[in-house]
Amino acid sequence: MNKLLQVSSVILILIIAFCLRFYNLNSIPAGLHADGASQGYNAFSLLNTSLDRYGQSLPILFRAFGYYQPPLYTYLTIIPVAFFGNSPYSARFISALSGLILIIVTYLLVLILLNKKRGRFLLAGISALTVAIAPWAIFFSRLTVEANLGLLLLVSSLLLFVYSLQKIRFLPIAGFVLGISTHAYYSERLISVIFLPLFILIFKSYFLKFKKWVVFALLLFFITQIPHLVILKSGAFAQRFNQVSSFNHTSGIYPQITGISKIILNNYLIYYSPKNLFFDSDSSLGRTMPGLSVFYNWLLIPFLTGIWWLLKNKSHQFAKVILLLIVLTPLPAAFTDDFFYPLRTLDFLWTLSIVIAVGLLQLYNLIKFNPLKIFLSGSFLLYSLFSLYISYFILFKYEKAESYGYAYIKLMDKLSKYSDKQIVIDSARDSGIGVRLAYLNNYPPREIQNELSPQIKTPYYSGVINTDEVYSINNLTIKPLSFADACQENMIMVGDILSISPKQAEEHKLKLEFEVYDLSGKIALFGYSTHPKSTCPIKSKL
Amino acid sequence: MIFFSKYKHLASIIFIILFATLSNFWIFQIFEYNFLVGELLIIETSLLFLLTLFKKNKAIEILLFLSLISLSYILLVNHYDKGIFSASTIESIQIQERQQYYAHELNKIYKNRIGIFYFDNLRLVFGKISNNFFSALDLNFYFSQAPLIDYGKYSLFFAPLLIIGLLSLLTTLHKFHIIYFFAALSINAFIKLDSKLDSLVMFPLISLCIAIGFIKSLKIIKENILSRKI
Repeated sequence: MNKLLQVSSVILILIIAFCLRFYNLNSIPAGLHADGASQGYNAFSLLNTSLDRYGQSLPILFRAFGYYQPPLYTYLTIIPVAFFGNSPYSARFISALSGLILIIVTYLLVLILLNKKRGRFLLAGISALTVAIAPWAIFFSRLTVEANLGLLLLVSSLLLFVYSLQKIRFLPIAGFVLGISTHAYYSERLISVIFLPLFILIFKSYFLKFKKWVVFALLLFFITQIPHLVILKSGAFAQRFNQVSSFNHTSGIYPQITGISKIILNNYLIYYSPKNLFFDSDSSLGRTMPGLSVFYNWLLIPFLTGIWWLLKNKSHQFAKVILLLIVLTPLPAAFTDDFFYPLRTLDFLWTLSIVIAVGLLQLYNLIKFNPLKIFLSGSFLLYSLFSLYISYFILFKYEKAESYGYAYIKLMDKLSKYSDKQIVIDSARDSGIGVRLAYLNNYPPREIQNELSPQIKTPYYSGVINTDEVYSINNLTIKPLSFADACQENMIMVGDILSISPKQAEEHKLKLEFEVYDLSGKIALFGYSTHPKSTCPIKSKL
Repeated sequence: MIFFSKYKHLASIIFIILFATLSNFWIFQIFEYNFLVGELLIIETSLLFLLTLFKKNKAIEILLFLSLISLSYILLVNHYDKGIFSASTIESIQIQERQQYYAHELNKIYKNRIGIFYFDNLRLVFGKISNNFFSALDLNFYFSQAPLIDYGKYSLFFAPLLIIGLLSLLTTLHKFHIIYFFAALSINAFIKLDSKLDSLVMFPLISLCIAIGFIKSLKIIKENILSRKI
């Protein structure tokens, strides 16, 4: 492969990847998820006050709705918030950028792993393209998820580790980047502590020659863990794990050890099931998009071919590293309770993308007739992009707008007419409404800090976090709705059909002022004005 | 295959085939449903196993082909999935909703005879066939131990054996294994059975992998643990 062709292929792949990640990033997904709004507002708050929205200075973990968010994503989001303002685009920017850089890192990693092997440029290009157009990679790159940043850092550290097999001075940097990845996402905490010693063990004959460098790398890794050690006993460090872990099933129908082992083994198998990887579309959050799984279904054959090739060449450095990752990376998700949750296994999905790329190369090499190679490659690429466009840019956009709080963004337009009234918005089923509105309205962080810090019922770092926060933003109050509010004068009550049913509205003499439609055309929110004079006699019956 | 060298004796072969095919609840449920289908599955497992021992044997290949044809015939005649080409009420509602999205976003690409046929009909049919096709590739379907799920065809103990066997089989693959794999998935794509029997066409391959995994594990234990000098 000549240099010009290599460079132009990489540039073309990057252009495709850029379009798939940044096209309409502000409006697809339609809305802004609560987690993204939380990160965006904390970044906005840090930018203006150096404190998070609870008034905490430079947090090690960010307190959110009943759990803690790893800090790195929020700190990096300060940059897009400063440049582009408070928007869904700014909140998602770091994730999309991580997805884009990941493609370059993947390309370099495969090149270095295959070290002087024939066809390495082709495999590196196919790997980069597989990651660039993989449904999982696009789906999570367009969401405000720390996991995408965690993946980028883990793969970058892997690149440095592999490069250290040629130039040992890169080993300490690799250890440092691996340590930093543990501040990006929870899965990396477990993967890094297992990966680091295993990698050194696999290549022990090499590393034994450079003991000082190994110690230095371990030391740097340890230094990055000091913030975790600081909060280790507070309950905050393991709070998320305690929430989602399989170990919660230690009583009742499950006998302790055998029960947990079975759950973990079951969960582990879930991630190897081709059905989940290549077919099952489940459009719930943290999973996939309508009609597509984490990979295109035709990639099953390259996947099996890739596994076959890796097993055949298991003594090769490339195969050793990939096989290690295949076994290791689903572990964090296996310890949790959710059924097939791709968000927690991005590292695994990335590894499988490389396996698929290996398989694609083998199949590509099987075809001897060049025009047929080009025709088949082009057809599959176009088919994949077409499926992706239909599933993500059309179906997902419309069908999942509700999950991303699109209606609350539209609500802001409606409420501008009611600036003279008090407005109560129900947050009983979505604790992110307050922070979402605060973020998109650029509401001053000092005001929010003054409101929220007295509402914290436990220390900032704690195993228990209350979620019953009330937000007051100008004339808006965001809290779980109570029909006692119907006795207030000059008030608009806003909620969905579960908050205020037509029967309840009639009972409390509420007058329908407006309806907010979701992107799918369904009514998502209702706004009712109160009439206390006729309502308050009913109040006593409640 | 080197690791089979010690198992060439008839008794060992019979034992392993019996172990692989009868050490699960699933085969007895299949026998309960249809004795002939159960018999055919055991025959296919045995033939696939023999094929891994004797790589080139025309007689085995022909027998395997005939038994697969017979099994396909029985299943397709009795359990053809009639729902593939028709839409249920829920699916019809979803199609109607999606028609608006397609029309809005794709405009002329959708609003023509081919577009409407593809988006309203073909995608649904293709989705259903894919669903049936891939449902046989769900490892949890065979091993699930969740208390509220009534299936779980094999003991979870066999899951590691399956993985070891599958990886081992992949490295020494016979072309007939590949043909059988895709033929079984294709048959599965067009039939509908109840959850206890679903994906039964995969029984021979799964049992084969478990058998190979069992042999491979014994070999690993023997070479790495039992042969160590104390």
